[in-house]
Amino acid sequence: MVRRKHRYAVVQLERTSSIALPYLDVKPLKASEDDIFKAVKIKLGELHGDYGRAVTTLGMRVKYLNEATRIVVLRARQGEPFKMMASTLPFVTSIGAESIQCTTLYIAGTIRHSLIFLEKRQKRIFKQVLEMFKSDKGQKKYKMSEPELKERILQITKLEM
Amino acid sequence: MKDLGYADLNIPSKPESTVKARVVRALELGYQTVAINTVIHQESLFLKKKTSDKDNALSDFPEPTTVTLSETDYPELANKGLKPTILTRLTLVIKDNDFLIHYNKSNTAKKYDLLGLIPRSSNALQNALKSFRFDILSYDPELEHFHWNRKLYREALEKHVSFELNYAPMITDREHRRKIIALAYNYNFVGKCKGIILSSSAKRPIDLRSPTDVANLCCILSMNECRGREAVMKQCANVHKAALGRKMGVFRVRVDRVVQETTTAAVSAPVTVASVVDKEPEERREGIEVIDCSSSDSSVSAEDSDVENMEED
Repeated sequence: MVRRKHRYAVVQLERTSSIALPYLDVKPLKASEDDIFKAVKIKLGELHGDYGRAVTTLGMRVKYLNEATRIVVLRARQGEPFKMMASTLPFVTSIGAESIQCTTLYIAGTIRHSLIFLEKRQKRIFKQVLEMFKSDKGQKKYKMSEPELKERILQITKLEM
Repeated sequence: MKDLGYADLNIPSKPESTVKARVVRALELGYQTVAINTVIHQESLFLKKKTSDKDNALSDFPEPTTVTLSETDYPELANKGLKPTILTRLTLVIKDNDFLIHYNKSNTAKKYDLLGLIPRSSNALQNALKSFRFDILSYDPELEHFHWNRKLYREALEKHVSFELNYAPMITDREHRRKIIALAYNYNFVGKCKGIILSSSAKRPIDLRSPTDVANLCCILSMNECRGREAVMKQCANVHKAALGRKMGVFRVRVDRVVQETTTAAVSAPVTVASVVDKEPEERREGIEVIDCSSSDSSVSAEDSDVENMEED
């Protein structure tokens, strides 16, 4: 039996309201795997018609979803189905009630490679975020007292508490 | 020639307050080269005969817009030790060849790096191709289609012109999406999609997309995967090359071996143009001669600029 090959796309969803601002976006997404699946299916129908929708949704699945970091790993069959899905991702502008922008970070041939890429990326970004917690004199100070930590977090993320 | 990396050659300058935000967002998404575009219609240029729109008409082309960036604006590129390149571009919307009167007079129009054209009919395009040299041929989805055929496409390709397709109108509006897909299908039928570049004409920073996403749009626009990737990277470098060649004018360069007449063993030193020209006439020199054909020789035909010869240095 010939092996069925798939392609996995690692996609980051960014809120349009926080694109231009330099602050970290910390609010988690209020969407489930079903919502994302439906949003992509509807756009496929608009762009590629009945043929596109039928061919791609056969092997399409959301394999990994992290609401806090807003990262999704989508799977589709290799070849035409994946090309069609990848070409509709720039057009997805809203999921549920939120307006959103998709950027593909990586395209992998196996799930293992996509998760390896994710791990490396998260480690790199974690280092960058830790640098924001410097004290005012410029030293790296990770052991802060509670009120200091709260103040610094509010400064970086501009959450309304 | 610098390596330009991923390039987005159309960021309009019109909502002036958001130009810097859009450029910073493009650099964040992965682009390394960005061109800021000013669009000018032929009717808005000032003509002495038509006295109706005297107040609104421009007497001269506007100055190119500049953006100042610091290293904190492009952290990912700065980590690799690279700097972004920011070019300026002028696009003219024309009906006939009368715009040449204004273009040849003004000095500010020659300060732009790239030159684009939006013709409103195939006659306008044919007349412009005969006497005018430009780099990019673009399309505005609010104007009407005109008829393309293979001869016209190949004529434009021979004059080092690239064809541009914008993707931001595709995201916002459904009618524009259909028109641009139809134009891309037409280009495929008429010319096998040679020489196409993809760029946004994004008026808000939300409309920009990363280069891998834009290359994936080749599926909808009836192009190969190869051409999709070329449209974001390699063809943009070709546009820049053609623009440099257009600005330089007509040159002829001859490369020869330098033989120094010294008693010691003759070692051929690395040859540069300046070193040969500065040498005294007593030494026997067969060096590089640079002949500037634009000023003196009338016998040289003004069609080719030998950019390829230059690049082999």
